[in-house]
Amino acid sequence: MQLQTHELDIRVPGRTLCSALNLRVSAGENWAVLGANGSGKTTLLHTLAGLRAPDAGAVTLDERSISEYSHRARARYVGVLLQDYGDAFPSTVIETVLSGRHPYLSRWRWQDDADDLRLAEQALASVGLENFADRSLVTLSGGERRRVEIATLLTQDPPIRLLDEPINHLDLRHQIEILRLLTTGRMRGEGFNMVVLHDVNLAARFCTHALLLFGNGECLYGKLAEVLQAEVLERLYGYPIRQIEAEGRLFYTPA
Amino acid sequence: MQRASYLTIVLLLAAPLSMVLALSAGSVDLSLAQLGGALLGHGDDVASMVVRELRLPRALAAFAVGGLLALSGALLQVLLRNPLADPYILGVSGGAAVAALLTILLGLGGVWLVGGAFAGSLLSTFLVFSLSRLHGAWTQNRLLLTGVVIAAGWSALISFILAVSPDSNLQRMLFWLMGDLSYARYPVFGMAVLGAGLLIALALARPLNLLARGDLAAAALGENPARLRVSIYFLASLLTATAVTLAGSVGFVGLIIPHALRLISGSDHRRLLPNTVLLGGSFLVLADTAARTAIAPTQLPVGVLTALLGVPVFLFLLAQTRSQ
Repeated sequence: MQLQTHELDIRVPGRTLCSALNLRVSAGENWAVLGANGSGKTTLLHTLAGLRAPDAGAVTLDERSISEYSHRARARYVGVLLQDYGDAFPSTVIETVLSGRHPYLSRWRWQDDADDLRLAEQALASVGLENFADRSLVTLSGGERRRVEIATLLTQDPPIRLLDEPINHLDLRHQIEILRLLTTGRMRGEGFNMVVLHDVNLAARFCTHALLLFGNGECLYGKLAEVLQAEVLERLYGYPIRQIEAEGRLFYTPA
Repeated sequence: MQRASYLTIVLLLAAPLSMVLALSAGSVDLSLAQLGGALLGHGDDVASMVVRELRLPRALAAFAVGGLLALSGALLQVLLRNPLADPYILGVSGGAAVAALLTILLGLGGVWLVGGAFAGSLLSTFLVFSLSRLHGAWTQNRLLLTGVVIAAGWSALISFILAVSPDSNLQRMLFWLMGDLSYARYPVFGMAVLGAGLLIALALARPLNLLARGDLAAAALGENPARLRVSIYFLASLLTATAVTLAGSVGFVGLIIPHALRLISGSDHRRLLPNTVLLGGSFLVLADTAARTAIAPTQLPVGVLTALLGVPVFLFLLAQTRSQ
C-alpha cells in the first residue's frame, strides 16, 4: 500500500507545523518521525491516519483520499497507536486486546470467536504478556499497559501502522524487542510503519527513512542516511550533539 | 466475562421473582394460588381486581422505570466519561419537573401531567444539546457544564414554584419530585421504550467499549465518535424522559446500579447493559413493594426507599472490591 500527502499543510492556532508536504511512503518502509516537543509529530500522525482533516492539501491512501474511506474500512488499512489512552472504566487485558478486531466485526456479533481469541492471544504472547489475559488494566505497570496497547494494534493487524511513541515507558530490553517486532515482524499485505521516536539511535537502528519536523513549517525527509546528520539534529533539537563511531555505526549523543 | 454471563442468568431469574413478590405483597396478601388465579383471570373478584388493576400495572411501571434509569445512567457515564454521571445530571428531569409542577399548580392532572413532563424533558434535552454546541467542538466537558448549569436553572424554578404553591398541592409535588409510582400509568409504554432502548443500546455496546477509552481510540478503530456521542445523548435523554414521565425523579437507581455491576462483573457493555436493565428493574420493583408495605397504610415515595436500600448495599460492594 502507499500513503501520500499532496501539498499538505498542518496548522494549529497561531502556528504552521508543516507546509506543502509531499510525502510518499511505500510498502516495506519504516519511517522514523523525529522532532522536538510540540513540533507537530502527533498532529501529523493523526492527519495521516485520517483522524483529523488537513488544513490544506490532501492525504491519499492508494491514490484515493483518506476521507473517502468509511471509518470502518479505514481502520482495516490504517492502525494507530495513540500516545495515551483514557480509561473511564476498568477493563481486562484480553477485552482491550480483542477490541482490535472491532473494524472486522458486524454490529451484532456478540461472542468473540475462536479465531479472534487466537489472534489476541498470539499478540499478547508476542509482546511477552501471555499470562496477563485476565488481569485488570488498572493493575498493570505503565510499560505493561503500553505493551497491551501494542498487542491491541497487532490484533487489529492493519497493513499500515502509525505509532506514536510506541516505546514510551518500556524498559531497555522491551524497547529493542518491541521495535524489532514492529519493524521486522510479519506484516499483513504490503504494509509499512511510521514511528514517532525520541531516541535518534534507535531510529537509526530500526528505520529506513526519516521525517524531521522543525516545528516552524519546515520538514526534512528522505532516506535515513541522507537525513540523519549531527548538524541537522542540532538544529532539530536546538542542542549540541556529538557523533560517536563504534562498531562501524554512528551514534548521536547530547553534548 | 464469564462472571457477567452467570450474573445475567441470576438476574433473569430474579426479575420474575421480584414481580411475584410485588404482586402478592400489600394490604391484601395473596397466596401463589390466588395470584395465579388472578393473573389468569379466574380468581375471586377482589384478588383479581387488586392484582390486575393495581399491582400489575404498578409493578410493570416500576420495572420499566428502574430499567430505563439504570440503562440511561450507564450510557451517560460513558458519554461524559464521568463516574458521577446519573440520568438527571444534564437537566432532563429538571425540565420535566418544572412542567409537571406547573400542571399540578394549575390543577390539571392525568394526561396533562404526563404530557407536560415528557414535553419538559424533551425541551431541556434540546436546549442543552444546542447550547453546548453553540461554538466549536462538542466536548464532554462543555456538555457536562451546560447540562449542570441548565439543571441548576430548573431547580431554581422548582423552588420558586414550590414557594408560591398553596399547601394543598405541596404533598403531591414533593412526592413527584422524590419519585413516586402510585400515580404511574402507561406501564406498557414504559416497557416498550425500555425494550427498544435496550435493543439500540446493545447495537452500540461494542462502540461504547471503545468510546470509554477516548474519542480518538474509538475513531482509530473505525467508529465515528461524533455521531456516536449524539446517538448516545439522545437515546439516554429519551430513556430518562420516559422514566421521569412515568414516576417523577426516582433517585439513586441510575447512578448506583451501573456502578454496582461494573464493580461485580466488569465494564464490557455487551454484558453490562442487559444486566443493568434487569437489575435496575428488579431493584425498583422491590423498592416500590417496600415503599407500599413498609409502614402501611402510609405509602412512601419510592425514591426514599431506593436510597435507603441502595446506600448500604453499594458501600458493601465498594468495600469488597477494595479489599480484593
